Amino acid sequence: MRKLPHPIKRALRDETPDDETVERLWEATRGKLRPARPAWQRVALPATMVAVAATVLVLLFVRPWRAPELLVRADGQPLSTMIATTPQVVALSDGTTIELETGARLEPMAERPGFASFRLDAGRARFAVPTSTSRRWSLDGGIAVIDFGGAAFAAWRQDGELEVRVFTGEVTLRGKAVPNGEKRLVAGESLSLGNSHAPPPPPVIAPVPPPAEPPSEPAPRRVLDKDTAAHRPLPRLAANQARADWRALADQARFAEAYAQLGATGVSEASARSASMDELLMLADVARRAGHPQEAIPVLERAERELSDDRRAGLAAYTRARILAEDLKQPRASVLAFERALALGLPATLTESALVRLAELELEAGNGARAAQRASEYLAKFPEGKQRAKMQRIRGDAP
Amino acid sequence: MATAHARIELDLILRAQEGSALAQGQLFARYARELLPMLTRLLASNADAEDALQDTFIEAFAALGDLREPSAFGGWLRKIAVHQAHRRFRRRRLLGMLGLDRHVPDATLAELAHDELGPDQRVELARIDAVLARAPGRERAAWVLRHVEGHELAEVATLCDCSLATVKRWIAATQARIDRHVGSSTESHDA
Repeated sequence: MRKLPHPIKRALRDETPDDETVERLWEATRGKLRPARPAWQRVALPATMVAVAATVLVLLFVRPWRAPELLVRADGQPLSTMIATTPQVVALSDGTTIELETGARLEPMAERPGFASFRLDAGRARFAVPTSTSRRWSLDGGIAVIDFGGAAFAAWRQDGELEVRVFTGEVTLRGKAVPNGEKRLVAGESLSLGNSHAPPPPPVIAPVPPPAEPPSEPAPRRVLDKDTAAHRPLPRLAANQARADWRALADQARFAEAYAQLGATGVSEASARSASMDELLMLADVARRAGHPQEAIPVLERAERELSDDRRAGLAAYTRARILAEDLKQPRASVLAFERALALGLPATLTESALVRLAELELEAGNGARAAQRASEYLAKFPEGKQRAKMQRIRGDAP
Repeated sequence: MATAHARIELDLILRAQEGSALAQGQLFARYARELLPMLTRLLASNADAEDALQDTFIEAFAALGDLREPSAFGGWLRKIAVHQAHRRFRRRRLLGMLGLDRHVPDATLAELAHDELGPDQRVELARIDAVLARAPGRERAAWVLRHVEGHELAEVATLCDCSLATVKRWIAATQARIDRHVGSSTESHDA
């Protein structure tokens, strides 16, 4: 009698659920995750609605509704073409800020009460529009138009490409290059459109000429003549193909190859082009894991500085702090980076780790008082923390 | 630093801790494919497995803020799933005592057998099913995790939240019942 295999599941069918089943189960689970409204809300809500309706009627008669004013700069100057020869921040009268990277060109278009329109001709612009705004906005990015209200997002346009990254709120992209003609992006999402995201044309292979007579040595085989202008890849296509390739290698944890794919100054160039926290963190990973931790530092600094609204900005600072401490042996800079990470915000687990490292670094630097202060901070926040005993020792508590 | 996969998961966990429904959904999709088959084989019931899966994630997301080590998320989630299976075993036993157990065992080992499996192996699976159906829940779960799922003893102990000695005792007790009932044992892997 044949024995059952071990483990027995090898004798069983693969019951891995398909996407539809997973989706169905998630919808059922998500429905249970939403907290139910308590009973008192079911009584209070209708009463509240009546009160709100009454308030609206009062406002309509007592205070006429005022349309949003025309948009100007915060200093009262009218809007005009913005060309950034250096990084600059433009503040507008409604509280909106527009950050322009060097080389960016932003043109105001139509403007009327309740609506503002711009065109991004080139470069990178970051919009932060207050959520309290009632104004609608439109940004023409060439191959797509971005419609938005209160939101924070960055758009980067170069030649026939557009990349959009949303930090808070939501935006809607419209255009032929947009999947299904329209795409809504919410916080944390990004979308890249344009030439590099179309399938590359198939390579042209020159026919192998038949030999006229048996050669004494093999005739050179002309497969793809890279020196021929017609076959030379477009610089942008080559650059973007390299860009796609390094990501694929990094996804497979082949960091040395990803670094080699980017080339000698590739990490720096790729990070300058990137508007994506995902990509910047991945570039830092590549640099560090390929043995070039010092190249990860400016990448992470840029992520913290320019994407500070991204909830992973603290993670970028935390990562930089660890590189400075562990790889580059720069404890003072590491302390500042950990402090920056805490200021940007970290989840509980990393906050705990950051406070421990700060206490240790201060102690190693001979700053006993500051080390004790950090240890006290840790013990106040994490009284049952794993490093409780160590922090108590650093603080000088009696055993 | 973590690999790209681990970093993406860390990011999802951080966002889920902050209440992001999108991140919760992505974590669900990542782990449901592994946990649902395991729960099905543990509980021998498709409906119970689906309920247990949902309750696993409800419990996990409610307690996610307490997770100290995001890198341990997978193991922690599996432990919650096994705990949910134990809850259902206890409920079945209680309902069974009251004559109210209505669960349908539509995913027994014999039901899940490969089409290519021989008749003698199917018979053995059916006999194992009969023993497991009557075994105490904790002993049953420990045996299934070891011999059906293939986890090492230490991992089974972690998932069952008990000591190694206890889990060995549970597995041995269930194996002894199977040996008596089946007449031959699965090859012993517990030296």
